[in-house]
Amino acid sequence: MVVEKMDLVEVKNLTYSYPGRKTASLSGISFGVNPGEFVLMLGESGSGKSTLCKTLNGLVPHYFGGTISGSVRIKGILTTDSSVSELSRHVGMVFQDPENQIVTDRIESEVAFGLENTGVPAKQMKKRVQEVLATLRLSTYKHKRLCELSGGQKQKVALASVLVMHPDLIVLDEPTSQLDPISSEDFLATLKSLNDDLGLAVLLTEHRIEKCFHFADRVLVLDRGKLVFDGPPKELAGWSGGSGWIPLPPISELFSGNGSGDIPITVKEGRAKIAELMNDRADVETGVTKAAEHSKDRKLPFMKSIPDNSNDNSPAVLDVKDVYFSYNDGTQALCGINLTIHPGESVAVIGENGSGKSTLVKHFNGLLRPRRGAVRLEGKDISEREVAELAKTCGMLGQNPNFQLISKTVEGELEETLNGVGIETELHGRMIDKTLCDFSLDNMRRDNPQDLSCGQRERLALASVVVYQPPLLVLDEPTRGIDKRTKQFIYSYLRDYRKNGGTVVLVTHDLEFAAGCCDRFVLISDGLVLADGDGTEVLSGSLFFTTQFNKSFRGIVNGVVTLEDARKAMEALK
Amino acid sequence: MIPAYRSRCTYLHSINPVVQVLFIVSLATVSLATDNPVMQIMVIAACMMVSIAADVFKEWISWCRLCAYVSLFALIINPLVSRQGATVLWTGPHLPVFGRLDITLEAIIYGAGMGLKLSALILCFALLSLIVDPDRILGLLRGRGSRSALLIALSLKMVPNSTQDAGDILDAMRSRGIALDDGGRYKVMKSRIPLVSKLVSTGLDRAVDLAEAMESRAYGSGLRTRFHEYGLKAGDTLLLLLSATAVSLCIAGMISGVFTFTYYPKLSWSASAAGIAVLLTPVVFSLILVTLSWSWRKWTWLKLRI
Repeated sequence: MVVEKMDLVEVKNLTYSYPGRKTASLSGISFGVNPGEFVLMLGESGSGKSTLCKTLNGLVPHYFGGTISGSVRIKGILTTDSSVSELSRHVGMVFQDPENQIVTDRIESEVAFGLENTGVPAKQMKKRVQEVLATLRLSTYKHKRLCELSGGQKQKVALASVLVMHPDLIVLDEPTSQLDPISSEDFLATLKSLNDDLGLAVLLTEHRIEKCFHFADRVLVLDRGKLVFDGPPKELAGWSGGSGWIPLPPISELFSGNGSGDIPITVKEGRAKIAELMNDRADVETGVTKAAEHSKDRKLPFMKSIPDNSNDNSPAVLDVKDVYFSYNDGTQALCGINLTIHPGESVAVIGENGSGKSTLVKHFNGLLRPRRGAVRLEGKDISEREVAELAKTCGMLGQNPNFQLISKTVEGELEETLNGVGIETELHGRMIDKTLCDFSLDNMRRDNPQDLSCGQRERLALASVVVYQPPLLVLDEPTRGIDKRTKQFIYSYLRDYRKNGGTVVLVTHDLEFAAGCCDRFVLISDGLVLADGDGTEVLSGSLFFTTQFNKSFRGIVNGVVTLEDARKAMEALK
Repeated sequence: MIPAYRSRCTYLHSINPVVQVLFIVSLATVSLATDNPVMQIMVIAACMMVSIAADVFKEWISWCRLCAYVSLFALIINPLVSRQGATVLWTGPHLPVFGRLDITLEAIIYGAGMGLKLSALILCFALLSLIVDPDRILGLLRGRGSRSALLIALSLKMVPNSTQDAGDILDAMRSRGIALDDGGRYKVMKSRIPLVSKLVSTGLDRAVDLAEAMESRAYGSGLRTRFHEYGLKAGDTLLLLLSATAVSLCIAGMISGVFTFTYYPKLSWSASAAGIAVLLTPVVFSLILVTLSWSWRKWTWLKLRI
């Protein structure tokens, strides 16, 4: 698509620094957005994505202050000469956390809030609100209170409340970072349909891109405040070379390193590309099948990507027996869960939102107690033991790492944990030094955790749990809303942790990540274990709860789950 | 846990929020205007019937425990502090500050009467919280006292958010082996200091995010309009008339002295036939309301007309 005139957004040589900061958050940025274009913006945490988004609706500099040079024009209006409220008629903005952008208690009132502020007459307001609710399929919930909605529905309400202002451009700053994959997919599909059906221009920033990469007409990449790439998605896949910190859909990552010009960006394109590679498909399939038959674990020999340290004969580190749990409001969260985890295992607990995953792991260290059934940690019943005592065996990192950070310094954070679990004081210095070094935080040990970047905070939260190397490590959604580099760090750390004999339990929606570092998958639904087995067994037999690699190779080479598997399968197919 | 408002399909939930408030205020006014315990019982009975008509009886009755505590408190305290009343039931010792302890029948009955009065007011408030949608009330305020209304709405939202955050932070602290409940009261409080500072910083972060979101939606840009515009329907006018009539009759009855009740120095009461009729007014009018609510639910044509 070539449109000569860029008249919706025009950013020229934009440089911006927040008040009191010496370094510029944005430096020499120039780009444009055409009407009706879908632009995806990528970059690491702290690269300036959010700041750039806020320059488009005037929050920067009107709300935040700071020093700005260059120009940002929306439909020819210079943002520095216009107020945020004037710009809100052209640019709607949806933020990360739906909870933090909701003003009222009712869906209709929330959607109408912006219109009330701009003085739209009541009759016209009602028409616009009903229209938007119908467009986003929210009409059935319109009389509900917002607190009764799921995260995905709340984020749709946030989208409705900017859409109702009839903007020309919607800017979304990581809108799915707090949502599960099903809600995210639904939200992004809605966004795409708005782009297609209404011709609404969209500028979206995301870390989890496999569901939206192919929607984009153009991709912008920011690196430390500078625009380093501006082009179509397929060009980015080739430009990045599949390495480094730039996120690509898994299927693009598979093909990006092999010098091929046309890199697939969807599963459909990936399957077509794989089919092309199969010059002699019948022979390959026979070979693959034979290899699988000979493999004792029903995997192809080349597909064992993780060293299996588990020892099924040793006493279980965790034994969950027939556990039932219901919350005070009567919600039955667990309905007879049985689960045994042996030392050295790495287990991914997967399932949709509300299936009982987090409820289950909160039983491991006694944060929740079963209504019926028993939990044993290292062979001992935990029913009479305090959470603080159980923490010596079971370290747990919750969904929001910010809640983990309570000290005034980075090293104080680790010290707090060591004091909590009763490690001898003489050992503290050595353990803290080693952990800070492992997590590349040693040069900021006296910094306040609140002053760290998102990625650094995420690492510090994990460091504060693993500093005493608990035998069982439980992480609840460790990759939610984090960039590729931080994800890669956690991935490497967990592999090393297992190599050193640790046991890991991950609650996650990120199946590519889990497939890379876990060798056992437990699929939970409605408080019941639906499947329990190795990655190939659980993920290969699933249509939705599986990786993009598995979807791409299904029916061609069975049992492909990880990137490593996929690369080896490609070699076999050539 | 205090039961919160839930939307229901009843006549009382469907009416104009201002009329809803005026109706409850009229019941509370009758209760406030007299010390007569019979009238207080009538107001409580009227509230009960309205709660049944509005399908919130289960939630409403849960407030009775609080009323029982309040009544008991008034019943015990008044005879101890009051020196009035002619019928002395028991003469106790001389206490510092209080003087000689004389427990009188009138003081006990007055305590019980005040307990009933407080209960009637609490139960009126309970009914208000169960049938009036706070968001509709705030919606009405948005045109005029918009800033105050928004401040109330945001403050109300802050409570559940902070409660949820506090639970998550405490879970994170316990998971790191931090014993929060060991030792004496001082140690327990000290161990919770990080929780308080974390809650404050999280609250501030939320506030900044919310302010950004509001600013992005043109908040404070000029004269606002209102999404919720509630006109007066026939059903609203009917309830308004019922409420006004009930209050007028009760006040007129009290002024004309058709019913009287005095506690001190000796208990005395009187009620003419007209007085009894006035005393029964809240219940009679509530019965009309119950019938109207039932008919509203039963006959669609009525529902469409009022």
